[in-house]
Amino acid sequence: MTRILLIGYGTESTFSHFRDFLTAEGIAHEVLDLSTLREAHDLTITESAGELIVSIDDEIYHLSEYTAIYARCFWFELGSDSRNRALQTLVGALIGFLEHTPAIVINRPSSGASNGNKLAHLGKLSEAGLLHPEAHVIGDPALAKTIVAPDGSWISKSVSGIRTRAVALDDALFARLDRLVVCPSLFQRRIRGADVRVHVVGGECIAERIVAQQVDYRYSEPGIPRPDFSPCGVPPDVERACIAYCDRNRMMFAGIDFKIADDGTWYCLEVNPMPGYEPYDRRLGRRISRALAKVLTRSTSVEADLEPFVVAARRPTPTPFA
Amino acid sequence: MNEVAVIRRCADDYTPVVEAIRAAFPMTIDVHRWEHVRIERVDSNGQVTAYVGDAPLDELRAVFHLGSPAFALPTPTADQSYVAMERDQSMLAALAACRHIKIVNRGAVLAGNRGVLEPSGQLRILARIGWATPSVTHSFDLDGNVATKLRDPEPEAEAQDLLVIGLRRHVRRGSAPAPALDPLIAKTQLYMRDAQLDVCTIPIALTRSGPVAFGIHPGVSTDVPRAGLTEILLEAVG
Repeated sequence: MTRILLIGYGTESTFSHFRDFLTAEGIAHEVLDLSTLREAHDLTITESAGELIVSIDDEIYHLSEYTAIYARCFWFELGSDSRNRALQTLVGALIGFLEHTPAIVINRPSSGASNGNKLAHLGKLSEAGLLHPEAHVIGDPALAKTIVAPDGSWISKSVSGIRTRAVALDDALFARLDRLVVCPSLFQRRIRGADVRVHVVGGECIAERIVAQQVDYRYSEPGIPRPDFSPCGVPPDVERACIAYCDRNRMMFAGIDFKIADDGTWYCLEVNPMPGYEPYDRRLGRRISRALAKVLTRSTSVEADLEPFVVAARRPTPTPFA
Repeated sequence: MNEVAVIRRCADDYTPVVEAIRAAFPMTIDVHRWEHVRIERVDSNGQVTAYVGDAPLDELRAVFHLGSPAFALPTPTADQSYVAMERDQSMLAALAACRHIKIVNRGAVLAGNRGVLEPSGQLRILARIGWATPSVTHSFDLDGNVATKLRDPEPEAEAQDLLVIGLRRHVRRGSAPAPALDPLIAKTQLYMRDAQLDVCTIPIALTRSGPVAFGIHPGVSTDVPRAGLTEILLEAVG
């Protein structure tokens, strides 16, 4: 029997969006709401080899009893040291459990972890056959001035997974290159053209094209019109590479960002292992949520479904007592 | 191409481990301040120009990465936290791009394997390998700022022991015969090979019902006989 658990913050938009979708569709699920730790009085976490039991006040969750788990599980400031420490311990316990449980997990904590290092991440994209723009981590200001130019053809980003607004390198930023002595930073060749966000869910690709005037369409800018969004298809070779990336990295769900160059080449910018997919899903008629629900209601995880071509009945155990 | 570098957060971090590494590799470069690091460029095509001390990073024989040089501040500002994170990931990007140097415990340093970095994940890994592991209960009184942690079994002091395991050798703090450990060590080495780990430390207890393991930490403890530890470090570098 399928039993679904959602783990995340009930106050967070993507999490509550999916929770509300399951409720509206009549798909049974339970919620381990981490935001309740802001007001709760007691938390108990019991870990053993095959089990994790979490009690928040009177709510008790035996995690081994769930067949499928959707997790948006990260640390968040709760406003007091004791609650922060408790949350940190709980998130650690959840990460340990989710990494190893045989249940379906969207996504296991180490799936797609390379995204935490944007340059190393590009190497992983290449391994799966995804093209990416030229990029450099540069820590030498003089060298930087020989590689990048303040002509709008380079994008500045963080090296780490810290969310950063991507901007084009202009004169003002170019004049700050001496700050690279403090810490290196990432520069990526700018691809001009439409953005595409591809969500891969259990092997299905759902894509939306975004035409925007700003570099980072997620952020509005004064005087610049809002981006245009429209559903779109994905070229078969790109689709195969997206699915290959997810398979190689044990990801059942990913949000993959592309830029389409003028010559039609699709360049991958990054793969998000915990995509905040809500706005795309609202525009796409809940297709992503529907696909997520389909994966969670499968009877077994892909990894647990190990029935080989030569079935067990053809492999009798030898016995001397026949 | 014969030097070994140890990279760590600050001069006070892992001092006994650095001494043990120096005993095995007298030419070890100790990198514990950002001033010891120069990352000129790391490119998406794999080109690296970076130095630790004055040594080109890609000409080193091996690196023990125990952390990247960082600020030792109890309450860093937003800029300090950001700079520390960017330095760390730049360091890791440079290491990842140096394909010909040995990164000791590559699976923990570069692969983002959170399962082996969290205590809870470590116990589950040990259980899958076949070790007996304790159950652990954390209780928090969220209003009163009271936290307790109970392990069952909680080993008595005299039962506590320690293993440092390499891919072919191991060294143990205790000397009492414990043949039950041998098959578990062999299985642990298989796991380590699969997880790209060269050396791990496992706190154990030898109880009446058999050995119990309490964690598997990527890295070395120096609380074991030095000769055996040196052999494991030599083996880890290869």
